[in-house]
Amino acid sequence: MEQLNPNLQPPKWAQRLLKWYCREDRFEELSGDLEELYQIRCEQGSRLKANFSYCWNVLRCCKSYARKTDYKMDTSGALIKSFFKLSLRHIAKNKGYIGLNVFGLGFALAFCIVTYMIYGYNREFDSVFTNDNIYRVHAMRPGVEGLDRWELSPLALEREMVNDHSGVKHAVSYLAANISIGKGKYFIPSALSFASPDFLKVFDLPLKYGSKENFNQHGIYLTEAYATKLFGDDIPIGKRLSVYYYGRKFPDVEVLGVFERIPNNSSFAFEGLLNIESLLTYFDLDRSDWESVDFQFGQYVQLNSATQKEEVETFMQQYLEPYNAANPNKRIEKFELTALHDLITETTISYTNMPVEENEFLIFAVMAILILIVASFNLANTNVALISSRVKEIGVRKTIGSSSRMIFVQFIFETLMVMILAFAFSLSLTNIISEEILSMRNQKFLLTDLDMTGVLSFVVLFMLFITMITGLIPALYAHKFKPVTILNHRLTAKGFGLTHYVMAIFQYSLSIAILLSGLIFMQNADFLKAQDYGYDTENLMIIRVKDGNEYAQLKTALDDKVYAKETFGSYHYLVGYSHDAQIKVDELATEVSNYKVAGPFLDKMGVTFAEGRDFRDGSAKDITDHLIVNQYFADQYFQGDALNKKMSVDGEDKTIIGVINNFRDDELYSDYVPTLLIFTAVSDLDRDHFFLRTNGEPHQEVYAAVEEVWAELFERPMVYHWQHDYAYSSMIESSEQMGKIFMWLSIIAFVLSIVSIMAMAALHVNRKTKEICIRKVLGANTSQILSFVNRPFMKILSASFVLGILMGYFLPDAILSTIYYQYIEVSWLQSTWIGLGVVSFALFVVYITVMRPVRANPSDGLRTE
Amino acid sequence: MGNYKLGSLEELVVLIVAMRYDSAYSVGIAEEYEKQTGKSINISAIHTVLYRLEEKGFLESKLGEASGQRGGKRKRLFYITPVGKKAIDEQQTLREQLRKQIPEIAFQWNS
Repeated sequence: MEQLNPNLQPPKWAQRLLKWYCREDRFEELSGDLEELYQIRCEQGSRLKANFSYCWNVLRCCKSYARKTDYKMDTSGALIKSFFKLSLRHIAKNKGYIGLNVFGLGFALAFCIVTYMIYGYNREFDSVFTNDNIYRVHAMRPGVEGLDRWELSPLALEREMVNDHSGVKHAVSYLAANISIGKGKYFIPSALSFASPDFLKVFDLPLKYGSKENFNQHGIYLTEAYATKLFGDDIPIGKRLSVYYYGRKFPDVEVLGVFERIPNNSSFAFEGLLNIESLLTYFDLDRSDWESVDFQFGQYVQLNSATQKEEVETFMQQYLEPYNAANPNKRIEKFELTALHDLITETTISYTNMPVEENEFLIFAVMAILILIVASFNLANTNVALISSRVKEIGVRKTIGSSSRMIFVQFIFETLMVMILAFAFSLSLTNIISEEILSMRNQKFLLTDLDMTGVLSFVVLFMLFITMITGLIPALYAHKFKPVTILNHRLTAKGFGLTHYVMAIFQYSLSIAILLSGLIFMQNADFLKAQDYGYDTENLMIIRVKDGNEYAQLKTALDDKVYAKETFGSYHYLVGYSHDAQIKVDELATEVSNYKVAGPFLDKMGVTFAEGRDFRDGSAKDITDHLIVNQYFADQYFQGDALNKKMSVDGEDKTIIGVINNFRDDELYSDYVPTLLIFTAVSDLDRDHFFLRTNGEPHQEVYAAVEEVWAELFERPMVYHWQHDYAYSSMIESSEQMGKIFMWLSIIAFVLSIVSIMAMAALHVNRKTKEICIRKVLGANTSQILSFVNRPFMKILSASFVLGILMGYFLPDAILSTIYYQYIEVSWLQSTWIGLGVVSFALFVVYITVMRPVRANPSDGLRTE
Repeated sequence: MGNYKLGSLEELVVLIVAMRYDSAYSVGIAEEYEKQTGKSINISAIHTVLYRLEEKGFLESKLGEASGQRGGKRKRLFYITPVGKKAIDEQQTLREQLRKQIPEIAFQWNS
């Protein structure tokens, strides 16, 4: 071996690391060995490799033969058993404290696991479809700011693409629909979808029974759950089903196959799949027609290779011309292909299922982490307080030979036991919380729907991580006690550290803020309920009927029912269903929404008139010669003076007989801009919708009663909706849900904060016992002592009060402003009162906790001295 | 016999130490191991085995003289002990005994 080259030196930090951990008697030989190897590596290869190898060897040599201290621990079963026993004894002795901690931690952890679930939901979204090169076809249409993304594909595109471009392997269309399945006398509302026969080739869904080969016009594939719902345990292949769509009966279909379980986190959520040809045949739709139809299809293409995406996209632009020529009012600027697994964030696109939006996820994740910090701090704090009453135990154990490390491990073990209980509790809560959260999005997703290896690794690693973080503070606090100091009763008491102050302030202000947020969301739901929409949205059931005859039959059957306040009919219904009409006012032509109504429909809907009158029942003149407009229309075309003016509607001259006040025909997501609306009358025979205004009975009860009447009259399912649902109830519901979640969180945060302040007060008094006793002996009275003991808590609670109110003002305001356009204003006065209430209660708890030791005889406290 | 148990890596390391009398130190042993078996081994694995064997009494060691090599840092030289010799002998005898007891027919695959 040659002399070492002094220019070739291994990394200094690695040398220092070796020196730091290595025993002195082994350092010379080990460092010599590693440097010799380094020298050899340098001669053989690159210096970089040699450096890496040296560092790796330094790390690898950190073993018991080289380390200064040997960390070997007795890990015998007896020791673990003893730790286990000690922990159980500790838990049994402090049931109250531990129970509250398990409760709080359980909730906090459940929220964290749900956060992971939402993350997993997004990560595994559409992962069931394993085929490559699948793209969604999107239409880009001119919007307010640039181009908007739409799922608006002409049906003709499907065949044209496959025929015209060799790169397109398959092109398929898909339409989600609400269809009823007839079974005996009953109709089961089902989420069935129509799809092209090649759909099953592109989206490779595994089948449990049946075959994918013969997906004909009269076939249907069912999901496993739906097949069980319809046929129980029987194998349903070959069985026939009656299908009703838009209130009409389709030809019967035969069950061709049953899919294996399809996860909830996929773009397509259906209970059964019908061939799209049946829809086309029944509605007489032409596949080669470029004109857009009432049905909005989604289209998907599978390319032969991903590299062809841009080429196919460019090629598709040639289809713009025939489409735009056929649909001048729904122009498309360009077609785009979006990979199936790419996240879609545009609100103009809505698949049955969508990944959870990043903002929603972040709000939830932040809430979960905040509440976990509160709960973890609480456990740490409680444990520190409890350890203060166990110092003698630690002293004795150390005297009879337990090492500091043993004490450390024991306390970590105790935290782990509490954590295991909390995790068990949290897992039982997870599905309940996820259902509550996802029901806001009308989705259902359970922990078991995720890849279980990921879930288990997350739960175990997360549990160990939280245990280490939470257990560290009490364990470090306990392991450094000196037995002599303890047993001599000379354990010096320290005041609260900065961490204690910061954490306690954080915990309390968060409790106040969350409580305020909960209240504000609840109030917001009431605020939304009280919004004036300009018409009466409450308790109104709308049922689709075929014609005026069916309307009359239903009216006769329902009129005398106790729940029916009034019944009436119309062709269209407000907000959601109208037709476009061509109007002409003084040679000025335009297109507006035309609501065709029957008789005094507007009056019955609670719409108010600015001037003029409503249509009259059975008036032929109203049908042929009259119309009603809204105030906005009157302002735009007649400078407010519209009554008795003439105009043309779809080529017919009509006179305006009434002007109604504007009503909202949108939801509360944006500031309302009125639109041009006209109302024309239709004959009683054209009543396509039956309206039932109830006295406010629960919707479900009314529905059940009406359906019974319906079943006696007609042999097809009832198609209905509630006007209330249509207008704004989803927003009220989401506000109520948010309120509920915040209320739950605030209860947990509040309970935890109270437990924490109790523990802190107990610890504080314990540490100050000697001082309190001496002060008492020297003549201090109870109130003086109380003010001295309570001082740190006054500081903590005052700071929390200010911070909590500020957070409680800005947090809900920020969340509300991102969700709603109109929302309740947060009141400072209310915030102050609630903040004061929380703080006063906390002070009361502190007072109760410290009162007993303060009142105790000083001789008891000083006896041990 | 039970007192002289050696693992396969341990046995090889004891043999190499005995083979390289008076020049058996970790880097040299690792090199020899790689040369003889054709398999690479990390230096830390050699250290672990050497110190364990020393603890068990199969090997003994001393620091060599300081030299210009290795930046003046001394090597720890390992020597086989009588217990070590007995252990490798017993392993050898056991292997030979077992080998002799294999019937010839066990190796006649074509018949």
